[in-house]
Amino acid sequence: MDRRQFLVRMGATSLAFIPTYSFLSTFPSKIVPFKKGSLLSSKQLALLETLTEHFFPTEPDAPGAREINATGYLAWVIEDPKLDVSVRTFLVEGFTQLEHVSRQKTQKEFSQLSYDEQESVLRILEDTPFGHRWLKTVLDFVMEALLSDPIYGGNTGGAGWKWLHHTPPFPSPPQNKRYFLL
Amino acid sequence: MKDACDVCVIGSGAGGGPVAFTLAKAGYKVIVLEKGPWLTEQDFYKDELACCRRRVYVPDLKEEPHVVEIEEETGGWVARSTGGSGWDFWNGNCVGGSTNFMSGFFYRLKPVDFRLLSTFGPIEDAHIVDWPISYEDLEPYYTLVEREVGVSGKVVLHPHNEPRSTPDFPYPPTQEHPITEDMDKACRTLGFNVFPTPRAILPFAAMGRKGCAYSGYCGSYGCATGAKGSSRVALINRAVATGHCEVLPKAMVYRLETGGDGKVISAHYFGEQGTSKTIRARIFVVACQAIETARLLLLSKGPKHPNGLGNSSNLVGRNLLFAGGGAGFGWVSFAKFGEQLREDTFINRTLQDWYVIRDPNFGQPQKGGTVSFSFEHPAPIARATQLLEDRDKKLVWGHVLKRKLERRFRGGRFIKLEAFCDWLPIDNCLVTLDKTIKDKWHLPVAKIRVAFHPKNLQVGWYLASHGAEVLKQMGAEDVIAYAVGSPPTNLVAGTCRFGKDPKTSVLDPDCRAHEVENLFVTDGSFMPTGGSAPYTWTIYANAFRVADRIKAQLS
Ligand SMILES: Cc1cc2nc3c(=O)[nH]c(=O)nc-3n(C[C@H](O)[C@H](O)[C@H](O)COP(=O)(O)OP(=O)(O)OC[C@H]3O[C@@H](n4cnc5c(N)ncnc54)[C@H](O)[C@@H]3O)c2cc1C
Ligand code: SF4
Repeated sequence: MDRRQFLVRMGATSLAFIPTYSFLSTFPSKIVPFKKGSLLSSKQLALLETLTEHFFPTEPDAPGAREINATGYLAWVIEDPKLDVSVRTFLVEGFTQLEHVSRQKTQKEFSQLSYDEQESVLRILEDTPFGHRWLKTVLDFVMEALLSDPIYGGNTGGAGWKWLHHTPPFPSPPQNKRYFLL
Repeated sequence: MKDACDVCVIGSGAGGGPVAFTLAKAGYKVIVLEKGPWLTEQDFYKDELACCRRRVYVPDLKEEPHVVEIEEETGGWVARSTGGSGWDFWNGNCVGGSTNFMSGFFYRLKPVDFRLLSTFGPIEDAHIVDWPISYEDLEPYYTLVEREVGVSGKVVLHPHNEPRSTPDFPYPPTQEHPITEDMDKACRTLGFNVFPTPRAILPFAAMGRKGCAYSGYCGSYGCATGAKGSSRVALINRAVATGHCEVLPKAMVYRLETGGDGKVISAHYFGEQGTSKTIRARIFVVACQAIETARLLLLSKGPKHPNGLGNSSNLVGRNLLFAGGGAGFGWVSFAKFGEQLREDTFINRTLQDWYVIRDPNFGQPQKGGTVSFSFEHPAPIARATQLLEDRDKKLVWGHVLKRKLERRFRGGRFIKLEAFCDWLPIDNCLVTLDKTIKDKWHLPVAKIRVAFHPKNLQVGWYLASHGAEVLKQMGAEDVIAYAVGSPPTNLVAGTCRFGKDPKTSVLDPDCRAHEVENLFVTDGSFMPTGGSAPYTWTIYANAFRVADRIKAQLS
């Protein structure tokens, strides 16, 4: 057996260890200080909303981005003082890139595009290494909005858990034990 | 400077807890210096953001990275800081260490693990040796751990049972999932001797701790009931209750200072505010987990220890061990196995039929290992994010993603198998100090060179493929099994192997540094070979054994 072919299987874990999620693995660490309140303009928020709804559409029998408050959750993530500054910068930079691609390819803002147009702009963005990492990171956070404890602002009323028949974990964290207070 | 104490224990996990408990109980003044905070049951909730996605129980990798060096496809080694690589070798930094977050699958090693070299002979490119002690030396301490930490299980005879001094476990097995019956039946059909996996989990309230609540979220999560036998709940709390043990959390030891006679005089540490403090003691016990233990010794140079403390053999940091070898999965659907499949009790099943492999198709008799079965971890975000890329690495979103989520969550569960063989000690698996990257205290970080012996893969594959037979036989679908070369970062040992000869080992058979009379190492670092099963029970047992030696030395 070739030893090297296994080296690509990075970070094997064992014994019901949950794979590490490292934000830092996803992008270079260009550090720009974060000025509170100056991050997401209303335009960017609208863009975020369009994007999360595209990623996670509402359906009659299944919650979508709106029902799990994905936009609110992501906005909170971006403002979370515990979030690594480089992650924040990366996330915000992605909005600019998305708009840029949208304008370049369609001459329109992303929020004004039809579903199909949005899809093709996102797939174009995905083809760049930055775009792929960025879209994957946003999707990761949408999954957090879907399945994290509602105390963090997503998964409204446990909608994500209910939809997926997932038994809510217990004991769940009270306000004063949210992760950034530990 | 803090008052002198009899024993200063550095690190409060599986290696530190037994020492603090034993010596405090014997009336010695013990101080435990622990790098992380003192969290308790009141801080542990089933919060995937806390444990796993924001990783609050381990240091920030930007401030305290490791450097990991791996071999490239093209040959040559490439080193990257974990501050940007996706690896993380921290496992739990708080009072009780990683034992707070373990799953508690508990195995004794077997007599053959102590004499690997003399039983099977040398293996090319692997530094295998016999242990300087025997299974019989450790047996009483395995039994002690069963009682004091609380290990539940049931003795079932199979071809490789290790000898025991008591007929059975002090606690009966934890509750078992109904699907265990299907697995047992499959094993009977295949002629495999399956048995209940011992767990460091109390099935009912005992020793002032509650019984297991079967939350399903065990590994990687702190235990809110105290049922899990963490070093904190089972040992450190009781050490403190004696009145002879003081625990100083948020105390990061960065140097052990030695005198002209080569003995350790004091431990220097950074307290919470970042100020440097010092503690004097008669005896020092290092138990920071194998990588950080090696780092601390290498950082602690002194007039008599120019290569690092206890390192005249140049072996500190060498022979780093992990565990593993193979893994696999099988899908059990609700449609086929019924809604009872949702229950959150444990599978707890193990096979050790191939602990020694006597299979002519596989060559000479040789060391095999353990196959353990469990449900895939239920943590939902981890499961969901696995679905975000298809096989071609294209991102998946929208309706397609939602249908995938429904199938994955509402359709059934994965049963996971893990195969553990001996992680063979080799030249290219070691810890050194990195020459450029420093942590937030401006100290060189540990550089971990990671490689594995091809034999790990062969044995891992052999074991995993037998495990897969069980999954297929019981009717699981999409069964896959594979060998795993990369290290599981949560099972770490070696780096200060014990032995009789100071030229070929760092520690003596009592885990005292050969050349430093008052320095002991009691975490997994002492292990010259890792055995073919997860080894935390062995770390606990050995630390109890060494505690007795320290007691003798003190008196
Ligand atoms: C998710 C998970 C699941 C696991 N499941 C199992 C299992 O099922 N079965 C099994 O056998 N094992 C399991 N393990 C492994 C088990 O936890 C470890 O083998 C065991 O805890 C190792 O003991 P230790 O004393 O070496 O390290 P630890 O228990 O980690 O203790 C080391 C302590 O030293 C402290 N420290 C480090 N550096 C310093 C310093 N410079 N100054 C002061 N303090 C310091 C750390 O903060 C830590 O608290 C699991 C581990 C994890 C993370
Ligand atoms: S209550 Fe049981 S399942 Fe939950 S963490 Fe503790 S030992 Fe594990």
